[in-house]
Amino acid sequence: MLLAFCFPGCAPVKEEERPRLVVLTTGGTIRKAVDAAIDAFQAEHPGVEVEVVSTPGKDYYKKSLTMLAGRAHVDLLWLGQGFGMFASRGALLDLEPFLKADPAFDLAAYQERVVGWYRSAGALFGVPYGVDTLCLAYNSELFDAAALPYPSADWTLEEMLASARRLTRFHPGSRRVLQVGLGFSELDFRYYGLSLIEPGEARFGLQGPRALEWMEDQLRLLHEERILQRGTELEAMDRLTGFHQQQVAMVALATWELQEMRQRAPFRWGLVDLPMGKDGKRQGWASSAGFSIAKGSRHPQLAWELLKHLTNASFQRQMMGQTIPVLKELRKEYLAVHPAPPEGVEAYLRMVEVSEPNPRIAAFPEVEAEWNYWKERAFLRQIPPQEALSKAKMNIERILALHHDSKKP
Amino acid sequence: MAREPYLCDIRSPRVRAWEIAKRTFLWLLLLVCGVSMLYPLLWMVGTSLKTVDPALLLQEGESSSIFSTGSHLLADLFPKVFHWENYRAVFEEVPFGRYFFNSLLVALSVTVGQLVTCSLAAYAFSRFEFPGRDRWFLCYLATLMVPTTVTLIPTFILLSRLGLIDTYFALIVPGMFSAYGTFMLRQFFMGIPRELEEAAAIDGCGPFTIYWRVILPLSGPALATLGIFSFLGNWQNLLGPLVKINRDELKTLPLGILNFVDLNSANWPLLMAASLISILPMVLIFLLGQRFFVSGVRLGGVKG
Amino acid sequence: MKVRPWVATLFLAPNLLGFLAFTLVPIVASLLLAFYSWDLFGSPRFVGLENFRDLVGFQWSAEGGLTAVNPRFWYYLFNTLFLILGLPVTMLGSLGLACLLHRRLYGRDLFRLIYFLPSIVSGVGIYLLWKWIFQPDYGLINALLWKVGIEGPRWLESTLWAKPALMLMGFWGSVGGMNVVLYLAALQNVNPELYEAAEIDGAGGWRQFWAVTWPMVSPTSFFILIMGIINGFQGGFEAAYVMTRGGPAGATTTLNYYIYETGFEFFYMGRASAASWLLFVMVMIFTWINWKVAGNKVHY
Repeated sequence: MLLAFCFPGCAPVKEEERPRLVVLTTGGTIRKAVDAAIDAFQAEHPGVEVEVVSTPGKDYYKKSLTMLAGRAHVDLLWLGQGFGMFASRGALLDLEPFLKADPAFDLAAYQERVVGWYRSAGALFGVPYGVDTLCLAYNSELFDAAALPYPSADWTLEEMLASARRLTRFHPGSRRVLQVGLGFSELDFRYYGLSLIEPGEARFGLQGPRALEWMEDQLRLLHEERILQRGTELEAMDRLTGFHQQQVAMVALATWELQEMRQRAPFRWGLVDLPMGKDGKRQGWASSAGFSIAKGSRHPQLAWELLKHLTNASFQRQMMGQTIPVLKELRKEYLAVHPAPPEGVEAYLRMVEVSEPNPRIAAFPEVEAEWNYWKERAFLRQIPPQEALSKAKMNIERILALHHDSKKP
Repeated sequence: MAREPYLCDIRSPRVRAWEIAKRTFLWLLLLVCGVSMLYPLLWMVGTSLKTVDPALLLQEGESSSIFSTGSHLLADLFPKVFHWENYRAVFEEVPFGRYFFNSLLVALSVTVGQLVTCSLAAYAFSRFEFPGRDRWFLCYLATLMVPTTVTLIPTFILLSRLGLIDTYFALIVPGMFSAYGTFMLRQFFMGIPRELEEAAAIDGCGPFTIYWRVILPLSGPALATLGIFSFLGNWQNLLGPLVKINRDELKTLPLGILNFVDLNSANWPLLMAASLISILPMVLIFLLGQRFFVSGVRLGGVKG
Repeated sequence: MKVRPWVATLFLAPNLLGFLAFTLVPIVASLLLAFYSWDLFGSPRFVGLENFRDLVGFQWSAEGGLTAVNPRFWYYLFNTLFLILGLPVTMLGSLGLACLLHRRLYGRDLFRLIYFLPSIVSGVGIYLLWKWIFQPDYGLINALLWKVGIEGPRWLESTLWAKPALMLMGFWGSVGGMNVVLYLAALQNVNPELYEAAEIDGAGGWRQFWAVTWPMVSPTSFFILIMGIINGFQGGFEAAYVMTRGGPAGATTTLNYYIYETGFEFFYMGRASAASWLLFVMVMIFTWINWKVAGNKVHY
């Protein structure tokens, strides 16, 4: 009885005099954009109340999960990298019916690649307003000092590592790093043409000689050459602080860090695509942010109307300091908003074309945590690379299988 | 003629010099360790005076980093130009005054409530004899042993079923009952000599009169301690308000301060300025509580 | 004191009733969930003891040996217990500090405040600052060690040093905090005549401490110990959440962080509740032992 009281069942829905929408969002820049969108929405729909529940920072997911699990009244919610967790568990409403009934809304104006990340089995679980990705930022002055040519848009992994070797300097007679050439904690396995989970979502992708080669290169660069820095060591420097203070020559710069760095770097620097991988292809990481309608929404049609305001051109413009707009027509505008210096901001637009987000499957956080555990043990040289890869394969494929089983009716 | 040795020792100048040297050493030790205790606070103050305005940074020849990677470990702690206007900006950018008021209201009400309910319960647990007393007490303590992570969602569901989400009631009333406070006061009450109560009982006082006239007046430091803890605990509580409050007008300081955190970054100077302002009332309460310690009634003569 | 049951009830009622309503109901509900499988969005499904088997069960492995179903859980339990080892050190430090700050000395109130400050200066910023302090190449600690010619450890990047680093941080944050306030309040209640009597008996500083101070503050020490263990079992969350994400290789994952990760990141709320149940039972046993063993030595 206690359980029945405390856990899901149908909460009594009170008839409201005026329709009320509840929007969950994070804070900061986006809060201002959300407020503006709501104003525009209310001008079109007078009499509709909109309540914004804004939880900035990491606690956003804690708050929104608590509300959704508690069957609270939620109509719309912001979703970033956590999108897959919600969509794969049936927490979101399929937007296709609204799309079909609303010919005025032109989804084709949005980049198909990015919209595709929100599709699953013929359903559309959200509309994105922005994309995040990484580029390589390099300190031109440090490159000049070492008499090295600047990175070019078609440079390869080997070329990047060769520059990093020249730019990494140690304290005399010691292994203590004085200047970091490459502010990376690890070589992305994408450079080796690998992926964490293979398409089909049942198999672990870091297998075979390529994976072993990646792991051995990583260990050599980490321990012998000391060109790579361990993860929390870099984070502890606030990552960008080292680049700011000219102690790190190259760093992966995220879209959301661009504006800050543009305004503040007191030296010459440039942006360029991440290098071509061993397989001659360029691949990268991306993420996207957008809004979705909760399955339990009390006013889905009104929520759809508001959702359009939360992802339209005006909203995307306001978020350009954080994310790359998804509307194709705004791509030129993005470059105008971030003029040179530094040169090469258009590299971000190119990276979006070749990047993929983390697999949007229910088990992803668990798989990632499991992989991190074995990866770190190998990086710390507690176990040989081969053992780490095979243990990770065994455990991760078991996790994936469990999730497949639970999907079956 | 033999004198009593210890009187002689106390007065001898060598012993006194030794005593003074020892005290000076301890004092210096306290000072040195104290400085290391202050380091993070200095960092906060320094950060709160920095600016994030790129134009100003360029003009002042300052880096915007909050951490220094150079060898100037202490020199980079403070900026060259102090931006005191950050403290004003905190109030202008968000309804900081409102958050402050909410926090004050909640923390003070909860503290008063805890002092009343916990001291009553603690008196019963420390003095009354009833069957299974200690076992009940352990059960009571057991509720402190469940991690809040798993009670978050049930708490939210309970409060929303009761229609209490987004109310001061939800922030205040559930906090007024505390197993921690009861345990703490019980320990103090156990140390109070029973002779006083027995004397009062012989004079015909009932349990409530004894609690009110004998126990409470003797428990100044204990009540002050609980007062400090309960105020501090509620002042810093993030998780409770996070779950119970949706509307901006009802947010407390720890939630409100989050407003300076953006999607992937934070406005460090304003965040630190806001944190420092929110520390002030805690310092004040601590100092106030300390007054009670000094004037607390000493339990002279009875025990020993 | 013997009182009629209704009198005791009257004294206990305000606290207990409020407590039952707002704390016990969610606790019982969350503990019941331990027997369910719940992904937060669907409906809970009864699974019996499955969650417990997934945490602390044993199975016959393919090679024929008996192995833990979830060896990581035992490792996280070890981490949690390891971090609790910092408790006695902190307690002794606090008691020593309280004895110093109890005396008449120049600037006493200021010292009390200074040592108290770290315990109220909290938040994400402070954890990030510590992360930077522990940074092996540029951080404060290793930079200072470097100056005296020592190459410091890799702190948060080493499975060996990560836990001691967190203990150091914990010591800094709590040595002058609540514990000192509690001890100071307790020392107020020690009758100064006891010290005089001890002095007349010829007892030196140490003897006085063991003969008078230690027994007189024992109820407070008992309280700090019990609460320290209760909190210690649930500790390490913030540090893992903000600083290390439980790494490297799980070295700073405590049970409480594991419970959070399981419930709110992997969406196994049932398993998270089962882990809480186990945690609860362990704390209960520890507290019970404490109550019986240390409780008898407490001088009331």
